[in-house]
Amino acid sequence: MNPQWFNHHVASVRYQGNGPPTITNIALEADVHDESILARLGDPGPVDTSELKSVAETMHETLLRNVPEPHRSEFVVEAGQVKQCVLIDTAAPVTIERTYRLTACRGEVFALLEKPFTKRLPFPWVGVAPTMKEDLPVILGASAVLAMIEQVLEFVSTNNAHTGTTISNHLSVFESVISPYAPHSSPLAALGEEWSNRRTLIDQGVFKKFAVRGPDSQLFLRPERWSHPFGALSTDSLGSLSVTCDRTAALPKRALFAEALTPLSSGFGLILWEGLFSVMTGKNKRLVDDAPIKVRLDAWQVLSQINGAVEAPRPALASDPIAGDRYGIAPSLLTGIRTGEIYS
Amino acid sequence: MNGSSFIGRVGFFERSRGCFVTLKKNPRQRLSVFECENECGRLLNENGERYLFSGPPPPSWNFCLDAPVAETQAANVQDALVNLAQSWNQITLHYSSVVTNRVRVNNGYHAHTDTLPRWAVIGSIITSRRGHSFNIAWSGRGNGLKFLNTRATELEELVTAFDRANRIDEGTPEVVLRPTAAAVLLHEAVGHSVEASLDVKRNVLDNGRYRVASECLTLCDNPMAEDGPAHYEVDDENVRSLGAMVVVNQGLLMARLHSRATAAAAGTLPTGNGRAASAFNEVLPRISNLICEQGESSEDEMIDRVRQGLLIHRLADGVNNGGAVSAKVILAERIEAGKRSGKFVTGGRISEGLDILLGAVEAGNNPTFNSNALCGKAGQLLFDVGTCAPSIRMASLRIVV
Repeated sequence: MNPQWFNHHVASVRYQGNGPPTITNIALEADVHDESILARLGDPGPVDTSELKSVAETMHETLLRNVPEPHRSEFVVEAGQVKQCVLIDTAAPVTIERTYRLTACRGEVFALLEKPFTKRLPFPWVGVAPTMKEDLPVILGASAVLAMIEQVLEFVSTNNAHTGTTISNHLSVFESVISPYAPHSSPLAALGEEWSNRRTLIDQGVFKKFAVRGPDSQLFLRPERWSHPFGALSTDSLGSLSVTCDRTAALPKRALFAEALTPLSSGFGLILWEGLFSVMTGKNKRLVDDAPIKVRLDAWQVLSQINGAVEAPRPALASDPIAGDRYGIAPSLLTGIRTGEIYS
Repeated sequence: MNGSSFIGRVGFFERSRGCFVTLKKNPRQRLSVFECENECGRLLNENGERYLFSGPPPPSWNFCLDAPVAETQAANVQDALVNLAQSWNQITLHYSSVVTNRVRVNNGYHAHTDTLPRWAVIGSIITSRRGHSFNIAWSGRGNGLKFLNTRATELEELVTAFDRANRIDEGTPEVVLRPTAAAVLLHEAVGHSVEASLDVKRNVLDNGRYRVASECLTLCDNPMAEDGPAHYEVDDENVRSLGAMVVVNQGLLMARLHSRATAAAAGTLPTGNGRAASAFNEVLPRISNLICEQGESSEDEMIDRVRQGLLIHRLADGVNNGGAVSAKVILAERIEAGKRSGKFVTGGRISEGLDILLGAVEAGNNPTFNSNALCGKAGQLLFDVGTCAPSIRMASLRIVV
């Protein structure tokens, strides 16, 4: 049984830093046939975004003043609503409507909720990091974990290298068409969990051979992708990732915390990453290294040396220089590597 | 959308038709077709608020834009892909073709309308002997079918050589880059260096002339170049191109490519290089077609002068990270006693500084447009960033494994 028709409508208001907002109002409609799909990006009809704007404005004004000055330009607030409708066979169309609120900064997602919030967020940055001379363990924050997992999956899928490579057997990775960020969730999510097409990509460290999905994963959700050649990015055919770790580790007293990592090339072994780092001095207390730092890291090596999760899985954001922002769920992980291996 | 506050002073509007065909063979063959019609735009109001919308433009803009005519029929594409795939048991090919009619709006004035037909084929072949993955990336202007219908033999030769290639050795050999490989390094090391910085504060300080390549290399940017993947008279900010502009003369940086914003920051004039991937994207300074002036030697003469070294057929995944240039070596051939040996090697990557082309010794007399015109700068993937390169002889090139 396949959907015959669906509609995906996103309205949102987004603020970044002190700048004016970006207001989005787009509607996508698709007719699905046996081996072909016709999609139209067209008129969403009259939608009043003034309420979303008011919510986003309030969140922005309230929260921005709590963000330490050096990070304000990277602070993002978004309020939005997603309306999805799916028609299957002769049954009545199924419609769901969801609202969401997002705040993110320095690559980290701090809240992704369906209800408004204006209370002070637990921003962890309490000061400026000293020049790194200490020998400290390294923690990968949720977004850094997601970025590294995407990088190894990209290599494996584009090089047909499912066998012969492994990562820590404490890690498993699942993929689904449902994203924690509502605009990136497939309309199939409206039909319930059984339509989420959840599948295992990495099972306790072992890469599973997976068929690349057709163009249904991202093209239906991100119309800007229609101006890309399809398949140019391995993530074109990947849904949202969810990372789990079956072992926990005690939070060290002091550690280097990788808040976000962005790959600057691709491939196996050591590659260059741009990272945002801080020195963690206690639970939710970090001293920030302001400027992004370029580091050479081997994702396989790092993901093979995982001592355990120091934080439960939460929404995370992997930013790729070309693919853009991709949301998933990941825990923060204590690794077996030390600062010397990052800064050498 | 309650659009009453949006007067629409500055904006973009476009209508597109796209055709995406996927062929998967493993060894059972399956084709799927996805077609799309877009109507979307972006506008800025007087408060600087940005509005991204789908559907028709705001009534205050008071204009209609015709839907573009589809460049290809899905059935023709399917035939071309099946034909191309017939030599392989495991192959995936994604064909994308998008035709866009785009109009810019400035303070209520509807400026130049462009039609942009673009195509790309992305894919991979799992080789029969070693089971390695050989990746394909072709793109350009038009519908690409003519191109696809002439590629089967060349692809078969390349993949066969790749499948029997040995591991490359680490070292700094003397090399000849074939045009396809030279294009990757010219694009990364010169092209991205002549684009104005997106950090507009840097442009003020960065107008000096300095050496970016050796004396044997002269390059221009030309959006109207015949056969070039990019092809426009007016850029995405309504700035008319003045034609070919020399950006590097005998290795010296002569000019930078600017959008309106970067030109204003640098106290100079825009150069007609403001480009955006779609109506949803911001305009950035981008290369149109980067064209390297040809030299006098033939490729065979250059190979003869190398005596012992490498002929690099193909590079991929070129990256300029602001401090270094790197690219994967997909296929190279040993040069022995000044001749091509037929001994192929693969693997490893070129890893050099931004001054990599200071090591260029001579350019060949065989300039050719690269069949891969994809460039994904700053999150915007363009199909049509052209590079026309001849073979280039390099005194040495650092290859790491």
